[in-house]
Amino acid sequence: MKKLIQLKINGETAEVAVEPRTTLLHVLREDLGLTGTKEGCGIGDCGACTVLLDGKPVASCLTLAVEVRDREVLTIEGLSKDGELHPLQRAFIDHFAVQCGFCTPGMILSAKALLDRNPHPVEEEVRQALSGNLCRCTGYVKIVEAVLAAAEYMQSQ
Amino acid sequence: MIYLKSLPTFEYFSPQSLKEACSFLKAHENGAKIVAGGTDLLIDMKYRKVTPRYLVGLRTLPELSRVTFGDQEGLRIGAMVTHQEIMDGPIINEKFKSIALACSQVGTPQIRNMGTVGGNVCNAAPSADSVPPLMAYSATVTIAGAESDRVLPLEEMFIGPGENCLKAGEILAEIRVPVAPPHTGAVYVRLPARTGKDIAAVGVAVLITLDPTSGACNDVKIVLGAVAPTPIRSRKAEAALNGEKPGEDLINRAALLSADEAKPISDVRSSLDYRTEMVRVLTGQALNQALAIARAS
Amino acid sequence: MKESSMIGKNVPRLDALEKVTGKAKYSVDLNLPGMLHAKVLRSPFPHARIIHIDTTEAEKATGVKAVITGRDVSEEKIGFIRDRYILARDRVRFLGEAVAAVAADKVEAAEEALELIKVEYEELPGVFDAEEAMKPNPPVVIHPDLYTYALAPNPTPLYRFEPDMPNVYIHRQVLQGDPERAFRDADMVIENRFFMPSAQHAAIEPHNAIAQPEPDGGLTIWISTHQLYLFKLNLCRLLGLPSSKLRVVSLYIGGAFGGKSGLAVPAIAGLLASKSRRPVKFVLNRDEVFLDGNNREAMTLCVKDGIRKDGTLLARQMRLILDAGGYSGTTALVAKNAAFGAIGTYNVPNFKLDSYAVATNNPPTGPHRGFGSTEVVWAIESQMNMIAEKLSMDPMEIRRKNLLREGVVDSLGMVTHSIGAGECLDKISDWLGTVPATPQNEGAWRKGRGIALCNKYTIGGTDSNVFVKVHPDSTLEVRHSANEIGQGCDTVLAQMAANEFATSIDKVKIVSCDTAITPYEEATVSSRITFHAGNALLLACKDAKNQILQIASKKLEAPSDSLEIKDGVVYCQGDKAIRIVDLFSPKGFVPGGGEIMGRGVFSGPRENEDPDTGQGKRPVTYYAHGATAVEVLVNIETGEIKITRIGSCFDMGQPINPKLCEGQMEGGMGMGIGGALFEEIVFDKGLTRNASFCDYKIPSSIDFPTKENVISLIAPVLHSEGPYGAKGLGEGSLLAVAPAIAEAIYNATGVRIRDLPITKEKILKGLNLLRSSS
Repeated sequence: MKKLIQLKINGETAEVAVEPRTTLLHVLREDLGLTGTKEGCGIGDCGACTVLLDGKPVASCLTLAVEVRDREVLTIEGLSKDGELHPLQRAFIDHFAVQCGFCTPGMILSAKALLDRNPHPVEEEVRQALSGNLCRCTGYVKIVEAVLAAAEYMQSQ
Repeated sequence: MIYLKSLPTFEYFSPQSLKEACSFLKAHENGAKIVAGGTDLLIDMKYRKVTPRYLVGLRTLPELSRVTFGDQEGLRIGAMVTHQEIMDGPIINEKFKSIALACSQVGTPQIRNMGTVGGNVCNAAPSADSVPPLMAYSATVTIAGAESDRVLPLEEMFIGPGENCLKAGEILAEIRVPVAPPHTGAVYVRLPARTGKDIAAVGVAVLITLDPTSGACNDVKIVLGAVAPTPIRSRKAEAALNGEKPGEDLINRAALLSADEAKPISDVRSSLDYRTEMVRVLTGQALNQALAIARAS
Repeated sequence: MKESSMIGKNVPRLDALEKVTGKAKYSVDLNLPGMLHAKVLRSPFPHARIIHIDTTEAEKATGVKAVITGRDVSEEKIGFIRDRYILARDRVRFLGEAVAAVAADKVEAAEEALELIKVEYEELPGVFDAEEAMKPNPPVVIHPDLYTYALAPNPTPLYRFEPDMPNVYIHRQVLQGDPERAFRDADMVIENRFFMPSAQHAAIEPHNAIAQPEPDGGLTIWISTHQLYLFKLNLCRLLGLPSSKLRVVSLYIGGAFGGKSGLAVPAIAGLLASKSRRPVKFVLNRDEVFLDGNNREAMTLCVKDGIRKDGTLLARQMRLILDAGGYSGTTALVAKNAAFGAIGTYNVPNFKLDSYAVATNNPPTGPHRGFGSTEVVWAIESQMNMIAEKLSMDPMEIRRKNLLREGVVDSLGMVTHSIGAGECLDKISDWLGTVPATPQNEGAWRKGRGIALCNKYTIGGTDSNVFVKVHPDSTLEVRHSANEIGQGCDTVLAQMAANEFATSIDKVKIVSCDTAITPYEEATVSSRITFHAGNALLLACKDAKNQILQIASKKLEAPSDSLEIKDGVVYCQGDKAIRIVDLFSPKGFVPGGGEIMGRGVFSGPRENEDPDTGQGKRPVTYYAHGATAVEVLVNIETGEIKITRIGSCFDMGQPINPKLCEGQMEGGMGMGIGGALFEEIVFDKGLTRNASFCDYKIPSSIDFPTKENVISLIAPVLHSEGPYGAKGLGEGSLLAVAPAIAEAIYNATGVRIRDLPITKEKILKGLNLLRSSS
């Protein structure tokens, strides 16, 4: 029933045994201990389980692990390099864009996908890009601020 | 009350060719389903609305993920092309703006990266955003079968809510969109049910081709989403406009005819009365916008 | 206090680094060796007798390690009125009530086993409308033994049953003055009926708990809750464990808003863990959160006011009907506390309130950010606008005229203290007045603006206990049991500790929410932590400093009142000094004392109230005050609403960390927009019709105005008993949003909405009515 598959997660190859019904979210959280990716609704409405698949934000709760074979997955744990925070992570801290933190990993990854595609987003583009990540704590104000600030910072580098 | 659960068990089949996929589907008639983006099917499976024994994944077939364009053959969109790819596609944005715009209204960024236009069509939701503008462009669908392929007008795909016309062993392979003649305006106008990001309470696609000399309508398509068991053409309104020079009164009359043709339901999102009224308002808006584009082109 | 370097400073959140890197742990992230997964079977009927449950097949299923039903749960029940077993025994009273639970080695195995449990029901008639249910002869009596139920301990059990209304859980009465006479004397009497629907908190982390059996026969339970010690108290009772054998731990909480207050999830995990002798994890799916996640009750409110021509309020009479659902949860207490919100802003010399919490066969209800205030503020602030209109007065003026003022006795008998309502109103209306106006009435869009006031009480008679341990490296270890639910309590308490020791924030370490090591905290509720835990922390710091000063005074041979602690060093006048590390022996021991550990206990004021009139000297601890201003655009063809501007100003006393206060205000405005425009749990004969984020919409990033069009202002009025003069803020920020939006919509369109949420459709209906009547 279970099949061994290889996934490329945060730049490293992981080998996991999965059933066809195993979701990418399950592999990340239960098999690989990457619990930074959260589950909030199970049906792709909330965005807490967002990861980047080949650079694009997807709902890992609706992604079959068998369909991720040979593709690149980036989770929140893979965002900082050599202990150096990504400018988005820095900006989320500096701008108080974090409250309960449960939406934060997905939110940051959606923001990263945006900045990768569009390094100078205007506010409306940021709001559109984050519209699949529900946050109940912040009213999104400081999150949007943080993303714009990170874009500006990355520009200046 | 239907409860959410983990995914049920199934076997996953990854075909090497479209024909192989069709044969597999044919062999497992009721037990196999295509999984495209999975954003509708996997949810239905988690709610146990469907429990297929096999899922046939089409990711290994690159020909289904292509978008091509030629002046003669028009736009060809593979069934596995995602909504995000359509909304980002330069040709689609240049020549078929209403389709790109409709795809940008589907779900969330995550869902748009996963969900495919083929899935949106085959899932046959009355509120599917990509469908009305495609229908307004007189899109056709190429359906691959185990033995032979067939081509149908897109609007013939839909039987009822969640029901499409595919027979056992058939797969929607491609959507073809013909190039509209000059002096055409095409738009998609929608009203989200509640929040800014919500399923459409009403969606209206309009395509108008004007006679440049008389200014009369040579061709009008009005397609209504979310207000009937399937996306529907508003034929009475189209007939009222065809061959006529559209002025304010005529547009208002056409909008009323569209409202009359809509057969919406009441649900937790919107009521029948409100949807009916909004068909009138949105049809009016869409006609005016499409006319403005057609006149300017 | 010589220095106040940490108070009022925007210190970055202590938890932010963990949270942005995905390292922050929530209980749902724990995986223990040998852990099982629990799932529950829920009733398909809103009201039925359970004839028989057969679990034989489920017990035999692959992977199943334990199955429990109502027979396995204790006699102890839950609720403010003890009316509910953890698993239903002989009767189910709402659709979705848990009747059996399974623990299996995989989630899937547990789900499959549920399908093998056979339950025989005898359906009973149901009642789904609170006003019908509260009639003297209702279609069905939901709790025939209501009057025999035990009651939870509560500082002031201020309620009564209504023998003539068998489905009324409680009837709360408040009376001051002679409202009847005042209505006769008034120049105008105005009466309106309002409605606020049932709502879900929609914390993004679903409810969950993990229970682990311990070798001594006890349990450790990790829970996503905001009521650590209250849960421990109740779980001991429900699981039959003495206090010493139950350890309750909370990690970070992925949002709460009142919702993480149900005991069923941890109790079921605990029972299954005890039975299987294995760790058991129980996570609700999102649909289950909607069914049994302690939703806010639906409330109908009738408000009758008597007013003098000059706008002076003479009398107010309110009747509140709460649809508490099949079990009372905390809604009996909401029915009581709603009175606090009703009297907290305005001076009303003659006041009467009757509040009924009613049993129906809708899902049970619980606390929701505001705890009764959201509902009464919605009604009262809307009513104030209508009064202003009738009298052709400025709505701001009528508010200012009737505001409670410092020293005035309010309608419950408390002397008003620390009221910044007027300042908030001034600041926020100034803001709205100075921002550039959105273009007036473009196309089908109409512009309108609205302002509303609000107050949020904090309950009386609660206790906090905080420890501060001083390490040899001079780090302050703050041990507390307030839940970090996102509000930033860890950071706020750390700032206070650093301030007391005149040290930097990185010299504070937080250890929280583990009943084995952190001290008593009543609960992270009612916007009470900054004030209560803050006061306890200040006392703990004082205690720890005294211990340091005593040792240092001997070592420095100087009187302790001549010493001062700063940056880990005790200084004496002159140039003598000793480092804190040098107070310890080389082995890390404090000779004579062992360790330096300060303890602080703070008990909020307790005053009994008169059970017939609700009058008391100190029914609440304090009030926070605020105002929200909104500008909207409304499309008169589609009914679409765009919030183009929103701002709030709050008086939370001294802000400890202004950025965290802004965060609370912005989050409250976001939740307020959801409640005003989108959110309503829809029931159909007890069936929840929108138990998902697909069907129950909360605001996303595009439903909020752009950043220069959002503001959070602070107008602090210090409280004499608060730490540095601080009060609380968390809940209040939500309250004034809905009435401000409703007023803005009225000003834009002439449509007055009394029933939330304000949908496009309601606006269009209102516009059609206006057109047909003109």
